[in-house]
Amino acid sequence: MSRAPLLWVDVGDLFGHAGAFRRPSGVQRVVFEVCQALAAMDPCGRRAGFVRHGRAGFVPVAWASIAAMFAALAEEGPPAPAKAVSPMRVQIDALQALLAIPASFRAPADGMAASDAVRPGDVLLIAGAGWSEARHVARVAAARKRQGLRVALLVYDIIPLLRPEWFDPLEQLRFGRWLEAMLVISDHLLAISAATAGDLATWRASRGMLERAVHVVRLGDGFSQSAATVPVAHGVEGPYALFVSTLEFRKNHAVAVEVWRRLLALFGPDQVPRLVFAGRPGGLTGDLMHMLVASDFLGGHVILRPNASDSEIEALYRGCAFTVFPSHYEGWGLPVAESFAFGKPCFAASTSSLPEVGGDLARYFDPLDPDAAVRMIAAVLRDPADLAVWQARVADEFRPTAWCVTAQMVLDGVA
Amino acid sequence: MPFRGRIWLDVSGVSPGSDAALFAARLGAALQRQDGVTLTLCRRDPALRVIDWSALDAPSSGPDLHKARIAWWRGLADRIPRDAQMAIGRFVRLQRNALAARRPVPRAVEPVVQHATPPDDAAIAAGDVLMMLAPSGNASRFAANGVRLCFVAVDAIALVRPDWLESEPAAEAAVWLRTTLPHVTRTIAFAPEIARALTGAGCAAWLIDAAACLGASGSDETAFSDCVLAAAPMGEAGSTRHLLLAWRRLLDEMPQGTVPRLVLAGAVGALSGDVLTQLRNSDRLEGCVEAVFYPSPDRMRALLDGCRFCIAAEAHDAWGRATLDSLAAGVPCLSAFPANGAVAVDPTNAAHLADQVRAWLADTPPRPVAQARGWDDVARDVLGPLAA
Repeated sequence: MSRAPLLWVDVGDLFGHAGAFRRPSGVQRVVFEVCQALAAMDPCGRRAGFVRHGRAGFVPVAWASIAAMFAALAEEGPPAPAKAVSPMRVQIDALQALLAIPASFRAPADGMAASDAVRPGDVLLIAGAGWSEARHVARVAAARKRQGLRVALLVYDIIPLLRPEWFDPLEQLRFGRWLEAMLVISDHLLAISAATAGDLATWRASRGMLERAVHVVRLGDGFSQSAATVPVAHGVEGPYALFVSTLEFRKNHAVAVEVWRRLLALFGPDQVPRLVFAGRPGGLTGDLMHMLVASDFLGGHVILRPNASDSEIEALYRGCAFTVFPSHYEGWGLPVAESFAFGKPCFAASTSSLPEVGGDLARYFDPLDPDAAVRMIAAVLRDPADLAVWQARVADEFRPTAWCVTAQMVLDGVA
Repeated sequence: MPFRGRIWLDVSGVSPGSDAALFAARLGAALQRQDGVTLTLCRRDPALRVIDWSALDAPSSGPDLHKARIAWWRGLADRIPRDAQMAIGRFVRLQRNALAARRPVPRAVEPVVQHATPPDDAAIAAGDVLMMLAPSGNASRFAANGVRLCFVAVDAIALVRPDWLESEPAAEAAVWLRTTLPHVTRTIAFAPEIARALTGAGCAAWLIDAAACLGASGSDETAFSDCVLAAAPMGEAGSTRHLLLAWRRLLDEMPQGTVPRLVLAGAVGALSGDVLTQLRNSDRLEGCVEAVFYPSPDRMRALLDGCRFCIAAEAHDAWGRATLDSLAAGVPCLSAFPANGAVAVDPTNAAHLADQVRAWLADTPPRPVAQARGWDDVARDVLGPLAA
């Protein structure tokens, strides 16, 4: 019986991530939200479904199992040790990627039976972090050839290619090879911002690749509520500014600390709100962490919340005076949108995709210029009424994008 | 009446190969040339010990990457709890001293102490001057014995940004500020910012200008033509992070092939692990950045002779080696603390750095007139406050 081509979202990355980490990262959250929206829009599965790689290629996965897996991943509770991927495993994966060991030599993802639900002409959406998975391209290419699938690639950013200094050479190599191969085998290209689409076009041109249309998909604002909806206390005394992000060099926590140091020198400790970093320390921040510890976290004015749960982050958003997001480079900039979703003004960097997210509601500064950020933040500290007006404007004018809109844009992009 | 007597030049806390070590070597040599002055180079460990001038030399003459590895190990060691760090550091130092003295290397700390050479504490007499170049450890016991304590401040980092020091030097500096600074009778600063910081710490200072350390032109040292030279220790104090960000912006925004190579020249300073990793990750920003570790005066001369202009990138100026050297070589200079023809720039603001560099690339600035000041002048100026 013939049917219209279906969109199949590859959720293998979600399961892979859940096997290695305790908390979902931004990419996994986006994939989950898109899947959830698709499942809600199309409960009978007439337009979209979910697949992961098994012995017989890409095979369907029930929405219920994805939801259960993600609920466990995002579950609130006392911090549990992450199931760390061993360095040996990373090395083996890297070697396999480099040597391109045939898939038949490796264990399949699970023991699911082959299914004929996936038909030629259907679209396979790659929206996860496929570059972190050995043989991912080979699997997609095989599915394209053997199962007759068309491939759609959702590109988040190409920062490892534009700013290699922030990434380990092996990571750059994996990402670069993966992207280059995926661009060749993809029938549809989607990007999460016009800035990323532009970066992709420029990079392709620099490599002598032909120009191709890139469909821009607007991401939804905010994430689904976690299972535990009990309000929690954020535990920060007095007024504070919030910076939600993994601590890594790219996110530019260093400039936030420098700005706060200067604000403290300008106003004195009683007049400056605390600065809360919600995120775990990541790459290339060893020196920053040393400075923070050595300065006693600027005399207690910087607070680090490395293991904040979703509920705690929500409470932190609700309780903050404003947010800051001085990132050097982004593919999109979810924390800016989240800030607005909670009705909080945001001081954001003026680079990459962030002006797309913040529109005319955010106030922008050059992320390399701490003086500019100091001037802007000092202005609202001197004039709290201005901050109140700005906050009211954010609450009034911000129109969050629902994830079903994102899902619809994905469907349109692969049509 | 000029000062006459014995000076113990104490280089405790001065890293071999650093700008401060070069300062000690130049000032020490000049002081030795002054009439009536007897100079001894020493270090507190914690007992006072006479050391050789070679102790000030750069760590090794190995390949540049070797220094980067040292920095990486330093960074790694810095993650160890401080108590353990101090114990391990002391053990390693004692082992190293034993090796240097060609004594059998003992297997534990205690035997090392037993075999150590007797301290030279007794050799320093009342009326002698203990001239300290860095705030490190407790030297107050010498003041109790009638020794005159003099602090020649070549660096304000311990006062203004102790968070830019590695853990052990920071702890040593804190001890010094608490125990020794109150007993210091003469304080000499080599930059206005240092003098201000000392005044802030309740200690008025004589302000003296240093001199350039350049070698002679025409040496066979390797240079880079048509580059921009950033002379400062690698790391947070040397603004290396901001320089890389500024260069990345220039590479992004200027036409391909128009951005000159950036040559970073300096010792491997504290908090340099992340920027050195970035250099490695990006293959030195795709070949647009070179790093020259521990440049000798001759190498610095060659680098200055080949560059378009120099950026003295230290955020909190030390004694101003880069500025003085570039001006002495007649090379235009951007400096955090401009003097004698250098132009001001804030090296902690990468946006301003990029703008200023872009402006100077578009319109070459005039060459400054070299200042004629030698280290003998510096030595005479230093002896002035001691005689007062």
